Amino acid sequence: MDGSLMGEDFTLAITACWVISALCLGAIAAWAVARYRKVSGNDHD
Amino acid sequence: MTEEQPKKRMPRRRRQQRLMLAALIVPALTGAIGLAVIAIGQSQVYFYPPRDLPSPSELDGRTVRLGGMVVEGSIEQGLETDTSFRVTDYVETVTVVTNDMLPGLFGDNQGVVVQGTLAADGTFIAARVMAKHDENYMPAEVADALEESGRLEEYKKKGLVEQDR
Amino acid sequence: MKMLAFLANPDRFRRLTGPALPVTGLLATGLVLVGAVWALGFSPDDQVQGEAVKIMYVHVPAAWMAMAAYAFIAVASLIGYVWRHSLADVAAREAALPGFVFTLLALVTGSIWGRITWGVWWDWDARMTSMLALLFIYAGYMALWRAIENEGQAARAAALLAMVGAINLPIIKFSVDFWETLHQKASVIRADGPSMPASMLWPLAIMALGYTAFFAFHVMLRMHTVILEKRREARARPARAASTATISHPASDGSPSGEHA
Repeated sequence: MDGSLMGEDFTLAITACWVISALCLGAIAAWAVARYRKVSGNDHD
Repeated sequence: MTEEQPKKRMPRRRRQQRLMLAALIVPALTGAIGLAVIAIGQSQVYFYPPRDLPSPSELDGRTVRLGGMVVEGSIEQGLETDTSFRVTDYVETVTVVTNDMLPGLFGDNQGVVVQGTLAADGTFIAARVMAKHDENYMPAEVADALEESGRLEEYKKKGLVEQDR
Repeated sequence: MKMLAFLANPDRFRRLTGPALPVTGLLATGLVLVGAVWALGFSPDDQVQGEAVKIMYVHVPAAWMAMAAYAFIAVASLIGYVWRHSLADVAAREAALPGFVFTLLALVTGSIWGRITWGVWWDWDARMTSMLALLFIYAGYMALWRAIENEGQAARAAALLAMVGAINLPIIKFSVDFWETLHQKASVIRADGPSMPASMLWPLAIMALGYTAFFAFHVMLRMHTVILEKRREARARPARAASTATISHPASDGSPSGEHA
């Protein structure tokens, strides 16, 4: 037992964290942009 | 029509009333919640360091937690899946036996928190073993370089490098 | 105070922040991309955690933003509550969704990271429990807005909830110092300065700035959208157009009973 995780492979966990983060933030951004387009598209301001 | 005019005509008194109301309600509720949290927190012990661990009779078979550092060289693999090791807070030391799978960070001179029961003979039987790491980050290369340059001891004392390098 | 009244006019708000929208959006994208490449491709492994430390670069910014967004909501709520600044109420309301998502991300990435380092997916220590409480407060806050029909009353109730819930922020921050926890103590914002080398601090800072720009972009965009939606609504009801052309609470229509706090 060397008390260290050096050299171990965590690609799956790291990828999961980054992808989940990107998806969630991307999703709410996309939603906000869609709502904005919907209301400003028909606006004759 | 502008938005500003009606607002100025709105009595200043009402705004001050709301400010006072907020200044009363919010701190009162906030304080109440804060105190409750502190009170609950104080009554629960997250883990005992070895020096504070009550005696087996006091604990009476309750599940509790023990936290400290793994004593270097104390880890022994049993015949099957059980492992034993000693946990210390540099004042007292407790022997722990466990069947649980050990986390990757578990090792000599690493922090550990175990959950289980205290046997009559003072051995802690852990159902769960969790590794605890501190808040320091150091690149592996830097640690290697320190080791080579002989400055490792200096940094170990500062608590910046893990102890068993 | 003058600044607040100045910004209270929705049209002025839109004119002032309009150009900032695409800029913050691009900034957010750019910073997060640069931060991601730096963190994943060019940052060192940790001597204890190995490459698992790369989760830190999404976990920590998410946790920071979870708290920053809530602080924003608490301040905007106070302004909206005391000064009846309806745009502040809108700002608070729209900040809740990104804040909720940041909190959720902090919890999920933290759980995965904890499974690797501590060996458990979750633990009821003070840090994790108070972050979970933050998630529930966000959820309750959003639900409260939807539950009360009268928008003015909803704003007031939500504002009070937000302000009282703010006590959770110092609890979260100091939980690791005040109580014994599995979660480690602070590595960046601490009395002795960061316990992290520059090679890790830089990508972390860039990710944090990127997340901040994202938050600003999202809230501003939502506020623009809400203003336009209300304008549309007002045009569809010409009889009340005069009083709803700008965002205002129903009570300010001049009814004698006025506003009750």
